[in-house]
Amino acid sequence: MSDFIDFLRKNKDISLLVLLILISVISLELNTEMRTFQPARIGFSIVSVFQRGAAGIGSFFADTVNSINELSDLKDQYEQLQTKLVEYEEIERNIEELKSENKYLRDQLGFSKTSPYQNIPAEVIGKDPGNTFHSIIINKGRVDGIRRDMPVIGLQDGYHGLVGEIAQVGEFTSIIIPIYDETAYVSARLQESRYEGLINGSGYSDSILKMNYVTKMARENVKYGDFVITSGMKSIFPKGIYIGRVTAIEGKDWDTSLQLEIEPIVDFTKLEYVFVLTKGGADEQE
Amino acid sequence: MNRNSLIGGTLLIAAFVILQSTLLGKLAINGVTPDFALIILVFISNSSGPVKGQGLGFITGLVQDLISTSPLGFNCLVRTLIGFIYGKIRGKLFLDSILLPVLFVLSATLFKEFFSSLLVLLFMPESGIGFFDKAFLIELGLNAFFSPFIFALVKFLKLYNTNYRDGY
Repeated sequence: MSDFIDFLRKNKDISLLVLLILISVISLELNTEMRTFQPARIGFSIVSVFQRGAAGIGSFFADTVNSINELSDLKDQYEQLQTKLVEYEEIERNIEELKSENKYLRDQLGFSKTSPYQNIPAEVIGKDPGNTFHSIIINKGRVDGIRRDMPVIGLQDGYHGLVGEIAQVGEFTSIIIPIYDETAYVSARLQESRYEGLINGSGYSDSILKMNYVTKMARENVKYGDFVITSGMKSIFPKGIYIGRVTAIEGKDWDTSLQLEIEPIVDFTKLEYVFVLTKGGADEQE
Repeated sequence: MNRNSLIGGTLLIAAFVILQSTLLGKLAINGVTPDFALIILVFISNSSGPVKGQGLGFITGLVQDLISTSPLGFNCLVRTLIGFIYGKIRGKLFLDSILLPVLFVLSATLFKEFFSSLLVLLFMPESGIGFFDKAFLIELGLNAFFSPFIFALVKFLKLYNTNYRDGY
């Protein structure tokens, strides 16, 4: 026994490496089988407090920097032209910006109130810190009524587009797996011709989605620009939510089905607000 | 490295992990962000040796796993190994301002991708996650570009003894 302890003392770095690898592997083993393993949720809840803090501080500094820039612009223009007219023009411009922002927020609010889906509006506060996995972090969590597997949509250019599903819930923040993630699959349907297929992400927030397993009979009926919506078939996503538009149709002679390229309705690079649909979550009663 | 600097290093990397998911996401090209936490881990491990390096890698990997959809243990393992590797070569090479930081971080990004792909292959073979693709090349470039600046920043904070050399 003492020999073993001596060995451990002499090879401290290797012993620690083996121990840490063991812990990681056990954790991986448990978590790849049970994605809802409690320590992760507890840990995520703790870290989410800091994350909200960081996002808050970031917004504060960004707002401060924006305000300083705005003031500096006003001052420069005032010194150059020395007339009140320019100042008024600047103010008028600001009002226009505020009107535009106000309209945007009213649209979001209007959608939240008039939407056929019961929803919880949330703000996007972050994304996955790494590049291997893809996720979107929002500022609403368990205390706000968010539950795992709830569908998430976004409103852009008048369309409500599918964003993804809730993968992990902390007390104050939640993680969304977006539809562009390689592990995300959505049962979909072409809105006009009604043919079905399966949407899968490519792993890039700014790239196209693939719609597989569309029957070859659809080739004559599918057009570029056709809308693709959720089919609601054996899925957590409600029927009829816009996913994207057809941008390419592929299908070799020897393939048994067509593969369509879909441009998502939601531009994930400028996604600011989302709506978490409270109906349809798998563990709603949790 | 004393206990305070270990805590300091952990907090520094943890802060960068959280910033990467929020503010620093604005630096993303094609949705790919530079891995500042990895760059700092490489620097600290190379300044502190394998024991502290792998410990730091484990803790900061855990933080990353908690705010990501990665399974718990994934980043722990990858970053523990990276901390160990760069801790082992402590004092073997003279750390200049530009060339070695770039080479260290390029190789660390390569190791990270390799270990990650291995883990996905072993634990999530059905996931369809791609490796050594366009995103990897962009991250490689971004990490290499930022490495001299981040090394200089951490050196400026004077948490670590960067003059340690083996043998002489």
